[in-house]
Amino acid sequence: MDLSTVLAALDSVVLDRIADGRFERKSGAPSWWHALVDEPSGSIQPLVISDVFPFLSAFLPDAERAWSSAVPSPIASELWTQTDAARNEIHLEATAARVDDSAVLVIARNDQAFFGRQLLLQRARELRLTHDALMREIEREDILLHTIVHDLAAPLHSIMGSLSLLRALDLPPAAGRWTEIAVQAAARQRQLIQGILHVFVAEQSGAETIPPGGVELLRAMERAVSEREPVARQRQVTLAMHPTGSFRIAADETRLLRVLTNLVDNAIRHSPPGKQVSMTAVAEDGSVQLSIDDEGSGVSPDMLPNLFQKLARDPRGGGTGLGLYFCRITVELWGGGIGYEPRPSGGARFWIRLPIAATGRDDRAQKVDHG
Amino acid sequence: MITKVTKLKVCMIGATGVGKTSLVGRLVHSIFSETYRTTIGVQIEAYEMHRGNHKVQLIIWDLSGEDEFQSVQPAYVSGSAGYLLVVDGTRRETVDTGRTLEERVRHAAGNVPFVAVVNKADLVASWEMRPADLEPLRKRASGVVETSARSGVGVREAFELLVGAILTRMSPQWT
Repeated sequence: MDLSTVLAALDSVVLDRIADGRFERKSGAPSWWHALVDEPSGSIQPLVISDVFPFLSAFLPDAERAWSSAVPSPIASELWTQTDAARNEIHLEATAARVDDSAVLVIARNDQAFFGRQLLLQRARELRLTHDALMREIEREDILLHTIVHDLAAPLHSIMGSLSLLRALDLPPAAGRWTEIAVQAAARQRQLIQGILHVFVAEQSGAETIPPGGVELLRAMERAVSEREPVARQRQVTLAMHPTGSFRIAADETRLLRVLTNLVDNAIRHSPPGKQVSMTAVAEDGSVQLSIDDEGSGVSPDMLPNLFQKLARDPRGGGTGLGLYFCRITVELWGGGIGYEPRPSGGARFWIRLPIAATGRDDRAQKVDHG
Repeated sequence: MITKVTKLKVCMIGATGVGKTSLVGRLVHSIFSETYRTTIGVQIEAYEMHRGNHKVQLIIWDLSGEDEFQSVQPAYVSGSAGYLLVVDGTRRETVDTGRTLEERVRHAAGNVPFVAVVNKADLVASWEMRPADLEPLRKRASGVVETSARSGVGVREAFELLVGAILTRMSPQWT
C-alpha cells in the first residue's frame, strides 16, 4: 500500500520545508489541492506556502516553535476556509511537526470538524442575537406603552380639577355622592399611572443618578411622614418615627421619598383604626436599616414568595401591585436590599437596607428624637 | 497596461452578526444571502481592484466575530495593511465592541488605516445608532461609510476608500 495515496485519500497533504523556507509536497495531492494550488501537471514545484495559503502566515510562527523545540511536539492550527475558483469553500487545518530532522507541515481538509463547530457556534450565536433583538423589542414596546400611560395622565388632571370644583359646590346629596365616587376613582387612576411611570423610570435608571454624598435619611423620613400624615389621620392611624441617628445614605432623594411613602402607605392601608405605624433607622456595618412596622394582620404566607415581584397584588385589596416592586428595584439599584418579616407582637415589618454614603454618618453619637 | 501589482492583506473586524461575511460576499461574488451563517476561524477571499495602471490584489481575511464565544486573535491581524471595522446600525452595542477591537488591532497590527463601516443601511428606520456614537471612531478612521450588503450600497466605496488610504500611506503618488 502506498502511504502517499492513503494520505491523499484522507484529504491530507504532507509538505516538507526545504532550505530556502519554501515547501515541497511529499505525498499525493487530494482533489482540493488541485483546486487551490496552481501546480503544473506531473511536476512538484517548491511553494511559498503563505502565497498559496495566506492563513498560514499567522500559523508559521507557532509552527516554527514546533520545528525548533528540543522536545518536538506537533502543533495544530485553527480551522480556516479558502474558496476555490468554482466558489467551493474548502475548510482546512494545518499541523506542524518535526519528523527526524525535517520540518513537516500536514494540511488536511476537515469539513467534519468545521461543520460540527459551526453547528454549535451558529446555534449559540443565533440564540444570542435573537435574545438581544427581543430585549430591544421589549424596550421599544415599554417606551411606547409608558408614553401612552404618560399621555393618559394629562386629561386626568383636568378631570380631577373639574371634579374638585364640582365637589366644592352646594350639590344635592345624590350628586355629591356620585361626585365623591368619581373623585376617588380618578385618584386611584392617578395613583396607578404614577405607579407605572415610577416603575418605568426605576427600571430604566442607573445607579449613576445617586448624588455625591447621598441623602440625609432623617430628612427623607420626616418628609414621608409629613406627606402621609393626612391619609393616616383620615384612617385614624398614628405615624411615629424612632430614628437612632442621622445618616447620609447612598440614594437619590426623590426616589427615596417614593420608596418611603410607598412603604408607609402600605402600612397605613393595612392598619386597623387606632393603631400605630412606626419607622426606625439603625446603622449596622456600613449600612442603615430602616424598618416600617404596623399593627395590622401581617402578610399572608401565600403572598410571601412573590411579595416584591411586579404586579404581586394583595388579595386584601388596595395597592397597584407595583409599589413593593418599585421599592425593591430601586433599593437594589443603589446596592441595598428590602425584606419583610412578621412582627412577634403581630403586624408586619418591612425593612430596607441601604449603604451609608461615602461622606458617612453626620453625627454617630448624637441621639435624635422625633418620635 | 498593468505596470505594478500590489498585494494587500486586509481584515474584516467587528462584533458577531454585523455582516462582515455578507460584505465580502457582496464585493467578491456579488451575492447576498438572507440566512445568517456564522464564520468559524478565518475565511480567506481574494479580490482584485485596479487604480489606473496598477493592480491591487486584496487578500481579505474575514475574521470570526467578536463575542463571548470567540475573540479576534492578534496573530490574524498582524501584518495587515488595513482593515474594515464593521458595526451594525441596528445594534448600538456593536460600536462599543468595535471600539474595543480597534484598540486591540492597533496594538497587534500597528497604526494601519481602517475604514469604519456602518452596515445594514437598508434597515435605517431601525437604526439605534446616533451620529455621536461614531465620533470616537470617526476621529481615528480614514472614513466612515454606510453600507448595505443586501443592496450593495456603499460596499465597493468602503473597500476603495480603504485601499486608497493604504496606498496613500505606502506611497503618496498612488493617489
